[in-house]
Amino acid sequence: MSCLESLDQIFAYIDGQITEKEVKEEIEEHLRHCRRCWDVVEFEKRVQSFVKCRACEENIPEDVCARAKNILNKFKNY
Amino acid sequence: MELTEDKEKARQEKKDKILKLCEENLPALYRTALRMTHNTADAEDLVQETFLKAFRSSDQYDESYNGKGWLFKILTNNFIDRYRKKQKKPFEMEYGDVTDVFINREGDYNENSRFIDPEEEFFKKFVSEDVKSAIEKLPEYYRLPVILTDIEGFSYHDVAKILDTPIGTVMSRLYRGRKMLRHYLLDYITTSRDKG
Repeated sequence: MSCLESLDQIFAYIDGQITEKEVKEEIEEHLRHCRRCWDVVEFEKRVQSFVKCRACEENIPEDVCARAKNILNKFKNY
Repeated sequence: MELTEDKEKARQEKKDKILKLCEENLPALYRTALRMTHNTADAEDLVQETFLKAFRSSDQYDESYNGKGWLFKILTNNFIDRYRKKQKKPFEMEYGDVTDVFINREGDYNENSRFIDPEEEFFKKFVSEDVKSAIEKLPEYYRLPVILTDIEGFSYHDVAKILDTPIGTVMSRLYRGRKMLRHYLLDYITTSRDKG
């Protein structure tokens, strides 16, 4: 597998979306020998984990939460 | 008589499951609604409407299906309906805004070297508001797959179901969206460095 082929599938690989065992093994074999592609994978993993972590730092305001739960309670008793 | 009782019991059980599902996913639905609408009042409306529609369509709720995915599909459909009504410009018009993710690939990843910092200094420069603003700047076309995959952790298959889009389209929008997001993040660094 070439760098080009590997990079074409890099996001799917990082996202755990490559289901074909052979393709996955080919990518992993390539990554063992190619520092550049390995760096790309590590970089993408770090950015994704960073973005997720920061984007999830969102506290729902207490009044919004109370109003939403109030609606749910109405359904509970419906 | 017994049949009616069984039916009522099943209905009640389903209702309890949907209630639990809504409660558990309230924070995720709210933060997603906020990234979609950019403001707290619209986000709250969107979440409340999602709950209402979830209960109204409880007959369609299939317990074997991913419950969180079902709620997010309702949320997304609601958002798209509202968005399309509000916007004069069609949703799809945004597609041409970016060049292909794989063009200039070498350049892209060389640019990434600015991200790679053994001391993690690069990442420390961002506050969560920078990241949230960068996500909100993405056109809807790319923002939804990025939010659903990268923040809410849905698989490509689930995102395709939620957005009613072929899986290949989800993948290409996701890749383009991620690329755009990285550019926006780099812009924040460049801007703050120029200022400081």
